[in-house]
Amino acid sequence: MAKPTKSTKKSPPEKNALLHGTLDALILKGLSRGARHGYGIARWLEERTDEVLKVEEGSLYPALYRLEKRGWIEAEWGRSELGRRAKFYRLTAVGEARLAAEVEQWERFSAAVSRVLLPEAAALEPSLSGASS
Amino acid sequence: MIRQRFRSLLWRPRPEDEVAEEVAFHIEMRARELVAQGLDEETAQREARQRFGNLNEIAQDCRRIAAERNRRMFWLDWLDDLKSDLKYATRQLVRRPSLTLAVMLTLGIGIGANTTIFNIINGVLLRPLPVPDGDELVVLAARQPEGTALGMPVTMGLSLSAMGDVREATTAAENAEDAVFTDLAAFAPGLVGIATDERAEQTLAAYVSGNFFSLLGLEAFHGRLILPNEGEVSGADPVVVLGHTFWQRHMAADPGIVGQTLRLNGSPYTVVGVAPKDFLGPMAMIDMGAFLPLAMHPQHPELAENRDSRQVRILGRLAPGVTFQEAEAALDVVAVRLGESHPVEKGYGLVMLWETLSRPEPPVAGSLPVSLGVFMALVSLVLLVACFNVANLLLLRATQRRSEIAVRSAMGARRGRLIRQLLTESILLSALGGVTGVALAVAATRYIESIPLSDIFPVVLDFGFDGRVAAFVTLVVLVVGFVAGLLPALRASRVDLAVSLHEQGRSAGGSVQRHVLRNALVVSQVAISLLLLMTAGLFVRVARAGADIDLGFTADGVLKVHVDPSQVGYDEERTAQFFKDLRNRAAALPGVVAAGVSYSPPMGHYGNSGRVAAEGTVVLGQTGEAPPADEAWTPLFYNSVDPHYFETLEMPLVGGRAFDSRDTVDTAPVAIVNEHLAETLWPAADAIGRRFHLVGAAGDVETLEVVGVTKNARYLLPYGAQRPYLYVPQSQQPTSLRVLFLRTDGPVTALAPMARSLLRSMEPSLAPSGIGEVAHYLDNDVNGFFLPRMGATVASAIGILGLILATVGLYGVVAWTASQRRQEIGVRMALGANRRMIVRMVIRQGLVLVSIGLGVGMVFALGMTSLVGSMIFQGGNANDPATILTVVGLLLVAALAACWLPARRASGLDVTAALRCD
Repeated sequence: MAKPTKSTKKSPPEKNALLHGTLDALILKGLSRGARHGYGIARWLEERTDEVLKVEEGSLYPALYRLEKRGWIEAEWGRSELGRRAKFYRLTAVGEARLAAEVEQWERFSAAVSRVLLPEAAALEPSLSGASS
Repeated sequence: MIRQRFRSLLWRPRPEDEVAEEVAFHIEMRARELVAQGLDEETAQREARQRFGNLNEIAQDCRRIAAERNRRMFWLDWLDDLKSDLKYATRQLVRRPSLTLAVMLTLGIGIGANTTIFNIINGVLLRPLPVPDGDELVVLAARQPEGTALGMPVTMGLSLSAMGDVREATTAAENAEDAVFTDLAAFAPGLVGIATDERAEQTLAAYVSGNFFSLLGLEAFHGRLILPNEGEVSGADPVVVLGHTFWQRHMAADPGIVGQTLRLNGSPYTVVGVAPKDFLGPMAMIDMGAFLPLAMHPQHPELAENRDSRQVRILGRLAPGVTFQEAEAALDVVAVRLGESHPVEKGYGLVMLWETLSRPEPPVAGSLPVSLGVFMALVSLVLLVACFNVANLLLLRATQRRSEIAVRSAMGARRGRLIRQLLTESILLSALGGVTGVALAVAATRYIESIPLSDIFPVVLDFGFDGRVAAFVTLVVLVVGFVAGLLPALRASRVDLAVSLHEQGRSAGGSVQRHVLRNALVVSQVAISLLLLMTAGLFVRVARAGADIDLGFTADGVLKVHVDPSQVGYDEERTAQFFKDLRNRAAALPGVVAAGVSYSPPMGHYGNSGRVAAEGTVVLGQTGEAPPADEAWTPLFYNSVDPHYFETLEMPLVGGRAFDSRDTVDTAPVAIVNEHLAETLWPAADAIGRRFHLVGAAGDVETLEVVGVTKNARYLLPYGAQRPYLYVPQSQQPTSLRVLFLRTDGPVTALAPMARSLLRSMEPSLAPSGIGEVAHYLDNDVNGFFLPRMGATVASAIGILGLILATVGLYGVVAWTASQRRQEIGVRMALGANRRMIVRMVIRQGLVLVSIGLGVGMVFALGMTSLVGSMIFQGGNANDPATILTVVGLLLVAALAACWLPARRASGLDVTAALRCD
């Protein structure tokens, strides 16, 4: 997941360069290791992408609510690290399945794009898919 | 599972608060981090906000989605609950198969009876004719001025002339201003003979106006239908559209018949088409064999000209957007205008009925909803008894399940959830009962459909189940589930936690309140059962009274045969000769002691109607024309008979003579009147030799001389007040359709084949109809004793069902109470009570309930019978002691049986075991 994003590093993205639907996948991934609150997800996203993907932080929330409505994630109020009341999100079983599907879809998509844009990198393809699964 | 659901319910704040708090948290955390990186508080706050983006817009989005999510969650939770409730309920039902089966059967009987009756109501009264937008159809008729009605104020229909006037004033088809109808069409039913191969098949046909089929919006199955320009000129369009059933039955469903010529009533007609499959005809449940242009009706010239003959039936379609009331108001205006321009229309009103509510015919519309309503009420009472049984069973089980429920509520289940859980169970039970009930109703409906209702009219009963019946069953299932389950659920869910858990699930004696409730249910059951049985008793008495009615003639031992030689083209003269020969040869058949002929049979479905006035009491017009009907005239039905009719049916003459060979076309017109008419016309004097005016159905006026007086008899219906009636000789007023009556001293069944072969030898192509014993016909025809007999049968069946269910209910309560008193009984026996004392004790307890139920029920039953009875018996005493004694006796015997079994069991108790049991 992380690797393909590197290909975009060469030409720094504009503010909302995130591909449509990618945010959902990123959020799901962010929750795959356990429950996080909204701010936690934002922080995780910053760290993992070296702040390359400059998501407008607020736009995270409508996405979270949508995912919750679809039943891919569920929310629960709890205590943050600093003892504040915070809303924690966590993947549901449906969400996990969804994440797997998104990853697979991304692999196929990015491999195809890579074959076109980076013909010399095509040889790397097997190791790419190996890395993200 | 429950815990999770509860969390989702409890932890769901309002979307506004949820979003606000979450956003605030985010911004605060971000600002805190920025401060840690070295920014000052104020800049950090600003920077955090900026990085978040458009706060208002985002929060709004989130609130909207959160609200959607909550709605979705609500239904998901609801479905989730339902699923688990259903699973749980199914487990409960499977675990107690005998209880489940008992409830299924009990409710099945109740729901089955209700479904059957509703199915009939649906088929007879609710389902419109199978034509596009059939629910827009209305039927028009006339309301007769006071005093001129034959006991029925509303006519069959209108005269063709009046219909034309109404059509011009009110229909879009005639470009009327403010049209309230799309169009009006006319039709008149009539018996015809259609020659197939060698024989003429007699069938009921509808003579229809040209716009009839276009008004209904129907398309031909084959060929075409009657066209708008057909049916204007008398006799001009000899075309016929065959009914679908007739075409299948007698034409082998051969499409090639279209375009061919066949003989109808002896004349050639071209078959132009076949009517659509499901369309029987304009009269619900009557299967018309053929459709002909109205102008081909044998009486068309009179129908078209005579305003006094209101025999043409009118179907109309309300114009789009016009309400029933608006159309009615428009008709009132037209009726007044008609009365002003035509003297014979004066005083007549126009009546409009929904087609469904005009059934079977406008004059008697309203009788069906009432009688079917009575039966619907009776079966709902049966269902109520069944519900009480189930409620009692569930109450009993609620007691057994107290510990289980206590555990569930200790685990945090709220009362609402518990009630819902228990209701799911009772509705599931009710649904099982519904399935059983529908199966029973299908069987019952099949049976009812197979009952022949008329031997001359092709009545087709088809109560096929449709969406309306399905909706009814669903509604009943839900209501029953609630009625039977609500009380037990409320009771069961009101658990005193501490007590129940402490008791460790022992089902020791219910509270006094529970006793009262269960007993109250049994008392109501007994009361309802009594009410049902008393009603059944009333119906049986009505049917019995029918058997005792003096008909004024002897129906036993008489065979009747309907014959109409005009169906094979005989003219008047040939018909007269034919019937003369037929009668003479039939009279000579072995076993025949008398043979006579008439136009219509007693309690037949047709007859002549007209009005009479004694000579000198009215002034005829210059050309002998009759003045409009008013109080001076007596409306009546009459019959045209041959000289032997009276002796064949054993109708005694009280004065004068029967018709004989002296009465011919060339001699003065004569009549024989019944005592009632003689008294009406000449109260103070002997009627013989007197003269009176008769205005026939065709509007013609005749002056007749009375030559004889008969005893009063029953002519149209076996019940009701005596009516004036008269006879004219066939030799002076012949009809083509006649009924041959043969009285035999041997078996009637042996005579029928002889009559058939005699007819065949005389005219092979003529098909007789309605062959059978008059007494048998009276017993089985709707105009005879069929309805009261059927009413008695159905009411008795309903009464017995109610009794069985109530007895089962009583048994259940007595048995349960006895089992609850095991210890007490054990103690009593240990102290020396013998078995008989115990039996008496248990039975006494049951009989107390029964007596209270009888007392309560009797109050209602007496009220009901005196109300209904006064309508039926007209002043007679509706409450006869024999019925009351029989019904109460029956109930007591059943009650004793229901108490005896548990009493026996209780008295056979093993004393030591009973006492040891805790």
